[in-house]
Amino acid sequence: MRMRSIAIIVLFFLLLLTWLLLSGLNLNSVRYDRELRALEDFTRFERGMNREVLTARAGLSRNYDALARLTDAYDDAVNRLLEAAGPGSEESAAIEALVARARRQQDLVEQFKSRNALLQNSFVYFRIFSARLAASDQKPVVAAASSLAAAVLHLTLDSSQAAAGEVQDRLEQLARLQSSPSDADSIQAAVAHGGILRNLLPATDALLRELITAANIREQDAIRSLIVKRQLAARASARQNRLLLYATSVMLLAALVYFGLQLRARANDLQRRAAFEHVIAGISMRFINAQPQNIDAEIERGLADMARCIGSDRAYFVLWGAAPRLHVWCRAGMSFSPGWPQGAPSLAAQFSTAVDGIIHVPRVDRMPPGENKDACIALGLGGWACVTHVDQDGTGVALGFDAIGRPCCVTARGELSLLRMALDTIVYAVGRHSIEKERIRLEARLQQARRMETVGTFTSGIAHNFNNILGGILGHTEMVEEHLSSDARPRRNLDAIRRGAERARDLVDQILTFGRRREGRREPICIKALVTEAKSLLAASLPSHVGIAVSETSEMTVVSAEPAQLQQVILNICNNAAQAMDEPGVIEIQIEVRETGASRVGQMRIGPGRFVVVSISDPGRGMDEATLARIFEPFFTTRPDGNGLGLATARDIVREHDGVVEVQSAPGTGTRFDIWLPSIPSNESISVQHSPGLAGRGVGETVLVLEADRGRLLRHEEILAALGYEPVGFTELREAALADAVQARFDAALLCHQPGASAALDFATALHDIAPKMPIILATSSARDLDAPMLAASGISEVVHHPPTSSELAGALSRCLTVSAAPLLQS
Amino acid sequence: MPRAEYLGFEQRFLKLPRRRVALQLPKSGEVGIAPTARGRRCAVAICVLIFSSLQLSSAPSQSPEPSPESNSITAKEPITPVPEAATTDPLKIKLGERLFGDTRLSHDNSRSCSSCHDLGTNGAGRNSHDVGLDGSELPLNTLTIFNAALNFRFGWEGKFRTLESHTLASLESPRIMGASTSEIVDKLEADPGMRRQFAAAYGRGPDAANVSDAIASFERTLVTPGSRFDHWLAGDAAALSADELNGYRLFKSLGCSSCHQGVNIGGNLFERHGIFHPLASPKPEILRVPSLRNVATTPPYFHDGSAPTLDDAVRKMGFAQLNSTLTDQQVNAIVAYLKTLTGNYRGTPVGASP
Repeated sequence: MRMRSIAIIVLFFLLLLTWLLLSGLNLNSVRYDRELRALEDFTRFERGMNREVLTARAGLSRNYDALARLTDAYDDAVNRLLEAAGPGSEESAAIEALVARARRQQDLVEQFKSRNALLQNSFVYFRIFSARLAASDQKPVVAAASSLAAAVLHLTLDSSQAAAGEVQDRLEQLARLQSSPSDADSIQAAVAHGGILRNLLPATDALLRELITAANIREQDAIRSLIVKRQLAARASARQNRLLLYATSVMLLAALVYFGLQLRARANDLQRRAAFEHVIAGISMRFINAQPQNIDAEIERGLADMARCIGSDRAYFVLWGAAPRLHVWCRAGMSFSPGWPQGAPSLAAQFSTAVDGIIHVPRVDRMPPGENKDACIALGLGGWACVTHVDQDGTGVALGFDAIGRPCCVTARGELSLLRMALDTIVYAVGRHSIEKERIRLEARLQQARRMETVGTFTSGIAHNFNNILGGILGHTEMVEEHLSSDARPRRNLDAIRRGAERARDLVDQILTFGRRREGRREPICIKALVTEAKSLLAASLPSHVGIAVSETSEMTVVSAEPAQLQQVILNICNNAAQAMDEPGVIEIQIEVRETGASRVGQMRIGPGRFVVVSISDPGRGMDEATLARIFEPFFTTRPDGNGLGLATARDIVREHDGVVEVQSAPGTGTRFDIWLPSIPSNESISVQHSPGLAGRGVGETVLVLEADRGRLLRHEEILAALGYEPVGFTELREAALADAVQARFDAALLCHQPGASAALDFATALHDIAPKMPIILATSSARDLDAPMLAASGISEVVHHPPTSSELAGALSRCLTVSAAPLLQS
Repeated sequence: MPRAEYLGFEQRFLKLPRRRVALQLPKSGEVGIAPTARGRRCAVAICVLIFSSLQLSSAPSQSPEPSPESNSITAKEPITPVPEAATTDPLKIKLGERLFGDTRLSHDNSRSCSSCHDLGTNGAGRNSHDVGLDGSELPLNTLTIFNAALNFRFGWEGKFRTLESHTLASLESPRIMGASTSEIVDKLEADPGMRRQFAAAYGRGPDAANVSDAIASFERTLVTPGSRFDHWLAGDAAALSADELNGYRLFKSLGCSSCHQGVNIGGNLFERHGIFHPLASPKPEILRVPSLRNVATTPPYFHDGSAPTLDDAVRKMGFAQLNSTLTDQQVNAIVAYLKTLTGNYRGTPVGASP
């Protein structure tokens, strides 16, 4: 399209110049010259012809060759004139008239030649015969001849009618004369030639007069003036066209100069741009190569480079938002006004003229008056170029270049887009910098996690083997116990062995719990309910000098979680708190709902949004920094009897729930754990709060407990009661059998299995036969002699360790009862 | 003298023999241009060419004749000698000569120009009327082609102003040649030799314009200078006998030279015939006065060929046109004079060969 328009313009100028040239050359002038020359020849030859005719008439010339040649030349001139004028020209009518006259003239000339030949002859003969008659001896003949001669002479001078009549009279007079035969011939000849003279003289003279009259110069003059007029007009127009040609050329020259200047300006722009791009590329390259710790220096160096390149006085990069940054550069001897460049983003925001975040004020003094102008003047700006950008996080960046007391150094639009590019370069560098920092942090975390994983896998493997070994120890211990009387001395040793083994088994259990992948079913639960439950559970297990106080919030505190696991988190942290308290005190549990816009809490990364925060604080010993850094590590503990898994498990669970645990502690001031869990909309809840055993909390269900050891039976009953169940304990299978009649009274059964004995299993089978829907929980110290088909056949739905812990029991019971209750609810 | 120095310089450097330069010095007016300065001459020629092409108005047209205004008053005699034939364009003349004798110019290829205009004898025939293509006699006697180019009009009636138009008219006349120009052009076009000759002379193949031009060019060379009378006019007093000179005087005094004057002794005006008495057949009434060059070789005379001898013709003319009955002596003298008007064509007197 563009090429086509250029071609059209070029063609137009080419045609214009050609036309002007052709018009300026005045090609018609040649034609006019030819016409004028032909006209001149015409006049000249006509005169020559007339002169020749007169010469011939006077008898001075007896040769018509010259006349014939002149006539031909005359004819040729006429034809040339006709040809040069061309048809339809202004003077052609006049020339046509001239041509007609020329034809007439030529006819007259021809007639003249014919007549003159006769005339000349007749003169000769008349002279001869009248001379003869004059010599006659007859008087009348002589007299008549003389008078005839006189009359003819008169006629040659005056060819009027009267003179011709006189000649006629004389001729008749002579002819009438009776003369001698000798004169008769002469008389006859004289009369004949005299007659010819009388006829031809007036006729020839008339011809001559006509010839000469017709040859007036007026017609030629008229034509000549016409031609000259047109020639002058043509010359004038040619001159005008030459002037136009000159003007066009000057115009083209001016256009050429203009385009040349434009080209130069563009080239300069491009050069400047290229230089600027080069600087940006250099900066960008340095950013890539820069170490994270050098990035600030590099940004300032980049600002300096750019400012020098575009000739600015001050340059700055402002980042505001979560992690504000400010980098400035100014020319030596210059400084920043107070509040500047921090104020640059807000001033930029006031400019309504900004396009795409680019503010360009070429000259402050030419700005329309208003606040902006005042602000700029107050800052001492002469020109300003600034690029801003705000992302969706609310983080804004601005790159500005000030000119102090002079116009802005950035002139071309293209450079403004380069400013944006520069801004982006810096923003990317900053971004890359923080990403790099984050990467390093994650790297450390990942390494730690790997280490943990290795430890976990390793310890899990050990734990499994240990569990089996412990099972053997426990089983054999119990078997030996049966053979010893209760007061036997080795009995105490055996008890010690058994207790030690049981403790080891608990430890292994916890290790396995930590290593197990938790993929329970998540459901919306109310934290307040969960905490209330935990409080009741803790009340049963915490030492007496530790109290618990819960301060709730009125807001809905619903999270999506696995209740048992979350309960474990609270219990573990509370246990930890209790163990840290040497003095009597109160553990405070505070439940809050917090909104956060930030993406992290403490060191932890967490998305912005609404969170339920459970804060557990104790007035205990507190921890120092070093301890604080390691408390979540597995197997890290400060207590001799601790296993170091409680807090590690708690943190893993919380992390799996997309939450974080934050710790604040100092030695002597106590410790505070904040558990952040993402809140979900509360309207999705909440039947679960009252469902049985949701968080291991019973609602008075009766539980059959079979335990051979009476002491332990009591303990089990305590735990169950604390969990909200109604325990009914038996120590003997027989007693249990008696309860057959009241089978419907029990909602669940807890049977403690003695390794190596089948009593519990047999009872379970019997119980399952009587009440197939009743869930049966088997507590066993070792699962070594049990297998899944056997358990299924005995109707056992859950297996827990023996002796069961409160939380284990609560979880097992709640699961069993939920499962068994579901069909009931459905029916 | 600077020029000599210059030449010396030239000679030294161009190794010219000094004699040659010395010979040329007095001879040529343009000594400055050394013999080998061809390049410079070329440059000058180019400059001249450029200047002449830049000159917008062409130079005034020069008429080929010396001047139509050359005054005749000073001429003592009413008759002027025949000029030598101009042979400016030999290729065209040669072509014209070939065409003149080419029978392809007639419709039936039976005749050429020279069939009636016998260049070997008197430039015409001996018949009072030649026979047309249709077998009947042509209305007028055939005029000689010799010196025809000197006439101011062509044909007995003087209807044609140019030789070319007369030639074309004769070619196209159904009774004379009966051809059409396209037919002639086609026939000539078929002849490679002819085509070559046309191309050489005109730069293009034959067409109506260049056929007639070639023939006319040739006809312009058919002049017969060198008659005894012309010698006398040129100042050779011995060229004419007393008798013949007497005849010339009579020719003038009796009024013959009123019409028969000029270079062609006639041929430059129209005249009525039978002024006093009838001369020959009355039609056409007005004739272009015929030339008397070679008149002794071109009997029979008059437009109808009614006068078999010169004697007869002179006598009849005197009576009819001048109302004068000439004596035998006068007639003889005039005839004797007229016989001195026979010129030479290509060195041979007209009518000499059979």
